[in-house]
Amino acid sequence: MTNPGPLREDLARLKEVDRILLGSAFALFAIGVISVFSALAGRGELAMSLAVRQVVWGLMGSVAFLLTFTAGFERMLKYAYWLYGAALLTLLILLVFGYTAKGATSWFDFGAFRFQPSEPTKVALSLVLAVFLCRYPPKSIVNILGVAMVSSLAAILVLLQPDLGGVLVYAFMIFIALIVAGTPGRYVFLLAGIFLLSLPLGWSILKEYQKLRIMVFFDPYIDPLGAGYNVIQSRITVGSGGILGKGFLAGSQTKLHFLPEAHTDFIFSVFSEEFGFVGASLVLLLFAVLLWRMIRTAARTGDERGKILVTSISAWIWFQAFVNIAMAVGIAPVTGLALPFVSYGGSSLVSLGAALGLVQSVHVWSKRQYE
Amino acid sequence: MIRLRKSPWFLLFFFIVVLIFRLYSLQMDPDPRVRSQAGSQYWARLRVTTPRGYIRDRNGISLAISTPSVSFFIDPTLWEPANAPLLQDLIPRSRFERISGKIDSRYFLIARKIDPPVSDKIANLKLPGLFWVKETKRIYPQGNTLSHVLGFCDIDDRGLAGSELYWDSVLYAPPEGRIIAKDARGNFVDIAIPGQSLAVDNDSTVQLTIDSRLQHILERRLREGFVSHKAEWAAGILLEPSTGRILGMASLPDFDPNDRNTFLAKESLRNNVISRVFEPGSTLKPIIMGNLIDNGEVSKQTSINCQGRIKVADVTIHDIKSHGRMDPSSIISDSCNVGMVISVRNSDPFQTYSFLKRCGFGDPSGIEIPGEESGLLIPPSQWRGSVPATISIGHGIGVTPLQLAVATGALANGGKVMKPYIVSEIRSRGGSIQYRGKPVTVSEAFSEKTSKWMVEAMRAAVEKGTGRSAEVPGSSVAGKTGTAQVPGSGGYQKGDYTPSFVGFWPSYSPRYLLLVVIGNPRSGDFLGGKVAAPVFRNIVLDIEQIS
Repeated sequence: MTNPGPLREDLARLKEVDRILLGSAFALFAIGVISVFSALAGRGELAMSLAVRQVVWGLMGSVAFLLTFTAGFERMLKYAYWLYGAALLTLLILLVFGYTAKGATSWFDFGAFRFQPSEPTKVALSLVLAVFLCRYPPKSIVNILGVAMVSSLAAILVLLQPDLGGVLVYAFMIFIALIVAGTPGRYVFLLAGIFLLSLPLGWSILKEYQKLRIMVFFDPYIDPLGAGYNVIQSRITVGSGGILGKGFLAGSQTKLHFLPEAHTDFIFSVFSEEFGFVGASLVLLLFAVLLWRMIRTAARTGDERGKILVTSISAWIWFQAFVNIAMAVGIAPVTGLALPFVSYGGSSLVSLGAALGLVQSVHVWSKRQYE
Repeated sequence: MIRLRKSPWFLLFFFIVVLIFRLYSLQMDPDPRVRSQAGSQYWARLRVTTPRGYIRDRNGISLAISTPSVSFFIDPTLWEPANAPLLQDLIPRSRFERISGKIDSRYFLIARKIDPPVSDKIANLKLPGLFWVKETKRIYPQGNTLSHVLGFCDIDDRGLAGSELYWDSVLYAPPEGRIIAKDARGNFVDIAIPGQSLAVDNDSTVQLTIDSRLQHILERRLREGFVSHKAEWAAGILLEPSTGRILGMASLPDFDPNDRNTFLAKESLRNNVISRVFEPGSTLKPIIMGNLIDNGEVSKQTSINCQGRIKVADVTIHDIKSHGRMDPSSIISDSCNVGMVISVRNSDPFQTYSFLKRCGFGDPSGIEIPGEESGLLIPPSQWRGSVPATISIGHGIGVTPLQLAVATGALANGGKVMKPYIVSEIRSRGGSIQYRGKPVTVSEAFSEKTSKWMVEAMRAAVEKGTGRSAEVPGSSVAGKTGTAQVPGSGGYQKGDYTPSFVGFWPSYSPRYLLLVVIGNPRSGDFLGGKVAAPVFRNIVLDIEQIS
């Protein structure tokens, strides 16, 4: 089983992939392309150019998918530490040379495109968690501290950018991976307790604007033209969709540029305004199907590392999807997390492609076990 | 492992339910606050006026049309009060003062319906926060001409007076909804509300029976008399006696429907032809005399001795002089008061009253413009003492100029009273005919024989009687003068007169009937034959010249 065949054989296994999983991911991507176009339709040529770019990024994501799929999750796990190390190094370099936008250094600017290293780091983190937690099962406090130290390296580097949303994704991935790896219940509660107790501390290290973001979550009208603006506008945008929406390209909130970050953070609002309750529910349904298939794969596989790997990845997608949508409908604070597969963004799409490749690899492998 | 198998499904399900519930509450049942904010944040739903229908004269000449104009408003959130002085001379003063300071409202109209030269100037200033929207504006190309008949509209193009009011349901076009949206960058977007289509053209038309050329003549000559005699008011009406069709209607003082400042004087807005009730005086005599002849109370050979005065009940009625022996024809041509009073002494008040009603007195004629008065005709049960005598000489009865013209028209029309009408055709949008003015015989007030005879008597009045200054050689004018005293509190006002002249021509086949009334002249003569008859004559001359 540690003997992957030649390339042709690997490609032949593509027939065995979970098509429902792939199909729902592709449907979400298609919704994303449509919405990116619509979100920017009021800005002339930018709409078409970014929609085309998004398609190109989708193709790059497919290439990443094929790469990880043909390599197979086992081979990738072998290089987990190397990949994680490379990711950490990139994050470190980023802090020195990165491109600063809106107060955060999250990007490498390569002129033609930008690269966000925290996205592929999520893939690397999943791999590392899988390897580490199997090698050192989190049954003892020492092992738990070990995994915490290893994984928090990435979290700290991302926190320094600062990208609070990214850190939360990592934290959630680690937490879920720990549970799946069989952490005893008392330690889970201990971790949750530590998390809750550290909240006041966390609050004090937050920057003013971050505090404001959380405060406007409770009442956006305390700063309607500042921090609360996004929340209010997104709520209005989604709310004005009604049952069937205003129709493609007819969303006035978006077209008149009231909705900020429409093609990235608030892409869900764009789609909801134009396709209404029905369209928004469809997006939720697609995510449900996607996650259902992932959890199903995780539950079925006999390989502990594969299970942790797939679970970490689904934790990532799950957390981002639900926090993003919750933010768009005003029941979660604005965190700047992109909606997986849908939001505009190359680094995210390529990383998701690679992650899906790993998931499918686990899926195909576990299917073979039953044969 | 049991926990692993179950809990992810539960969490997935739980989160989806929460999000769907939230979506449901947001989209299916939006918070009213959100809804109202979505509404107020970027739209102003403006209602802009669309073209009203046309008002034309009988020859299709436009009397009221709608033309494009521009309305300006500012969005105070973007407006810089320091820019206000740039608009100082271009917009109304009160508005200018408001925009110089802080404004609380969201959309503030600063000028409505501005015409091109000024509107271009304002637009070219390109001030931040200043927006505009296209509208239509009602204009009256002929200015003061026919202003009382045409009327005017409010700023939203709803008819307020005259034909504009009377036919508002035909002429009015509902305002068009426009969404004035401002995008988040402050750019200005003007979108029509879906479903409310652009009113490209409104071809609904009110076609009047008025002839603009005759109207101009009527107004010009009436104004001459009005001005030269420093009168308080004047009325002129020109109609076709055989049909009741009104060819011209003029009232002074008047106004310019294009200029709202001229609306301020209330008297100017009154259409004296239909809304003024006055005592006609001697111009009523031919009508009364016609009835007496028809009744047999007076015959053409009746001879009456006029001694210059006669006492009836408690009043004494005078004449200018003792006319001596008079017959009915000379009573009319010399306008003999005593002759009239003697002639009616045996009249039955009830018969006279019903006759006057048949002539159209005491009731609105039903002409298609608003504001018509019924006049004052006291019921015959109250005709005591001198009343029948004073009515015979046109006092103690209140009539509108239109009523007097219509009743006199019956004499010119073989005795038939024609209902006056001023609208020849109403076409609603799309061209279908909604209404058509037609000659309608209201009643037969006189026998044909009597009316013919009375025409001769009135012709004599112009040829050799009191109406000589109305004579136009070759036109065969028949007519009657009137110089009424004006009633006020406690009797007739000393020095107040209402000179008038009613006549028609040519007398053998009357084509036009014209009534000229000059109210309370303050300069020069006051006699109908000296004040109104020359105006009448000038009008006849001018009309004869163009026809």
